[in-house]
Amino acid sequence: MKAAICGIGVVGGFGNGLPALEKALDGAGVATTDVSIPTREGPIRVPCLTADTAPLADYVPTRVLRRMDHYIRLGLLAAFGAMTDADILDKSRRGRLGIIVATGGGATGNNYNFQYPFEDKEEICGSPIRFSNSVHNAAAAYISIALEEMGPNHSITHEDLSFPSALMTAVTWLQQGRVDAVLVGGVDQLCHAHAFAWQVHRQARGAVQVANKRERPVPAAGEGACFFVLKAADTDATPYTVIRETALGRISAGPLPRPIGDFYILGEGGLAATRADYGKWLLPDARVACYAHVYGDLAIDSAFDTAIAALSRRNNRIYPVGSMAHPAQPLELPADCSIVCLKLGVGETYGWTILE
Amino acid sequence: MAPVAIAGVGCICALGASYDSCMQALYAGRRNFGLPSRFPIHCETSQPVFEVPDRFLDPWPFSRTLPRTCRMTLIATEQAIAQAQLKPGDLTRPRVGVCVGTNIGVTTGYEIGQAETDSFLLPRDRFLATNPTSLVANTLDLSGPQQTVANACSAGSDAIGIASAWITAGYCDAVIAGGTDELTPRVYYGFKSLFINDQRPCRPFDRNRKGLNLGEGAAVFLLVSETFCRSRQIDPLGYVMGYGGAADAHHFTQPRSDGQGLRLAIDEALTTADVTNDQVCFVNAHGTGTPDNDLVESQVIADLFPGKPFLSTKGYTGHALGAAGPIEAALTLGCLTKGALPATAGYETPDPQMPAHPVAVPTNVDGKVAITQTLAFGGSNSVLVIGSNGCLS
Repeated sequence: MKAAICGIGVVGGFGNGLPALEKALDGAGVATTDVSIPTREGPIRVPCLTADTAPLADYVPTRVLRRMDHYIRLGLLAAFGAMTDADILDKSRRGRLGIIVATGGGATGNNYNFQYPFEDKEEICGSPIRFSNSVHNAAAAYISIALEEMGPNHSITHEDLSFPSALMTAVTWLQQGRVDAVLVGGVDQLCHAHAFAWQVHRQARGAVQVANKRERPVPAAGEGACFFVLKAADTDATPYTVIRETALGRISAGPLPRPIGDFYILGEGGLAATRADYGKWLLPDARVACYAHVYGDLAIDSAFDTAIAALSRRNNRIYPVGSMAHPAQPLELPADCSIVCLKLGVGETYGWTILE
Repeated sequence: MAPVAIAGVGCICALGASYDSCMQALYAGRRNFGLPSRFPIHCETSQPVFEVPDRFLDPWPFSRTLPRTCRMTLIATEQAIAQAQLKPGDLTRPRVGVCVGTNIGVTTGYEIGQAETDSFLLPRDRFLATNPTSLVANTLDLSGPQQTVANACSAGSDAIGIASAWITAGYCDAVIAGGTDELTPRVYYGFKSLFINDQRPCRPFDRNRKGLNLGEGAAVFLLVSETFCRSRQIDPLGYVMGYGGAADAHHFTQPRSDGQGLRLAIDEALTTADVTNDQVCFVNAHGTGTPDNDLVESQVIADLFPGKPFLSTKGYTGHALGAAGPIEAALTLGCLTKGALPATAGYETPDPQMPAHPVAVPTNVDGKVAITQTLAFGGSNSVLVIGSNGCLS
């Protein structure tokens, strides 16, 4: 079954909303912030693309926001963006809505912060709000509360494959007729644990890149959220594009499954994938792009890649790819071209989405 | 949805080291609780928990360096495969997915060495060593989709619902689905901070109930397609007949007082199962023993299933968080098969505020279909409709 993308909401280091994302894709600079991380050897500074959730005040009263932390706010802001873009913020226009939130790290910042005090034996009983917000479905729950939406509510935490898994579930729900529309997206928050992990990871990945003589620098650690409103493709006009196929699996016995498309967007964030890993998946003349320089290195990067693919399909153009040589300039994209968003995960896992 | 066959069940919790031993202990009325034994308690007061004894885990050949959450998942998975009279290698060639619900399974990576940022494992190694879904798929060399569900306490029920959809949608020939969670200091002190733990063994639906007791464990279902079932000549233990889920959209830690989210979830589950309320022969309630949860469930059960027997098994297992739903689904299947419910452990005095009361003594039931319901943080409600082996005839 095909699913139509009817609305998109984004927030990240590039700013809030699709115009900010498009501006960044067209070459406007995205500024990194050095975040200080405490370690035994003293603080280290990690370059990060951080996101500002201040625009959430346009949707949610400040008194309601007081119990929501940054992770929840990121998800909420992008969710409201997608609902507004799809023109279904008004409950009477929605039908039955399902909510699916993918997160690579979840509420790790809270988790981490809650555990510290009693590890140090300074505070035996931590904050109840901090504890409840440390549960990984916090973002999905607060989205349902803010939207007063009682449909199915689902959270997935499967590192790099969290978003492809969420997308497959969203399409399945539409196929089953379980809901009329799905608000599906990804959210990841930078915290000390993630930023330190990025530092460790970058060093490991940097070695691979040098060995393969790749020129593209490793993107800065990122955070943000990216949500979509999906409906069955036959129910509405499609303002963006149509998802033709989603796939998820693990390489085991048998031939390598290859997604077929005219253009490929590769997820270069998260734990697993290096550009070298993608080589065996693609034919030598495949046209590829990576966009993590715009939104940063984070596990739910494939959500942003899907948004960029949807913009590319709508605008019939492939955005330039920053410091990577190919393609350096915007490319015209014929109207009937398909774009594959391919994501490799740890443990030989993969996920892809084909948009047409 | 078409019924999805249950080829095997594995279960490990405070009740027992296997599905059979859990059922035996349930009918024997055993309650294996005590104070936490694996971490120090820095509090003046402490609450009992339902731990899985080490002796349940030690005979299995899974490394003790793995988090307990992962070891219990692997054990339950092997049990489920063995019960289906299959070997792990039998699952390599067909398209077999893994869908596991957990809370600790998505955080253990950070709990390992998280207090010392410098000792962090390499992130990919951390994930591979601590994510139960990934571990099962890698250990068995499976090629299907993987999903780790993080819907708080309903995660395991939702994982079974999602896995059933993978089979009916044709994505998989079989899915290893269930839930797992271990008891950690973070969870223990987290629940303590919410003041919803009982100082005594929990008393679900009792007038004097004061809260829940935490538990731990894992339960895994081997769900298979009709074709797979036929080709392997599997006689199913039972069926996942339906699944429903809905959000309260109300409060993060308190259930909606009118139970509307739970009602919607029950309605969806029965509709997808094509089963009427009358056909349900009993309800396995979430029944944590907290004042709010039990009151809401009693009202909803009284409205939707008047006169039907219901029980809570939390008095035998504790609240095993993401594992709770699958453990209770397994116990539901066992009770359905035997046609008998145990007494609701901890329940003694009816609460006059409640319009319906759980079974206080062992009770026979006659029917082929039952439901098991799970309520979670974030207002997530999940309901599974479980059918016995003969439910399709």
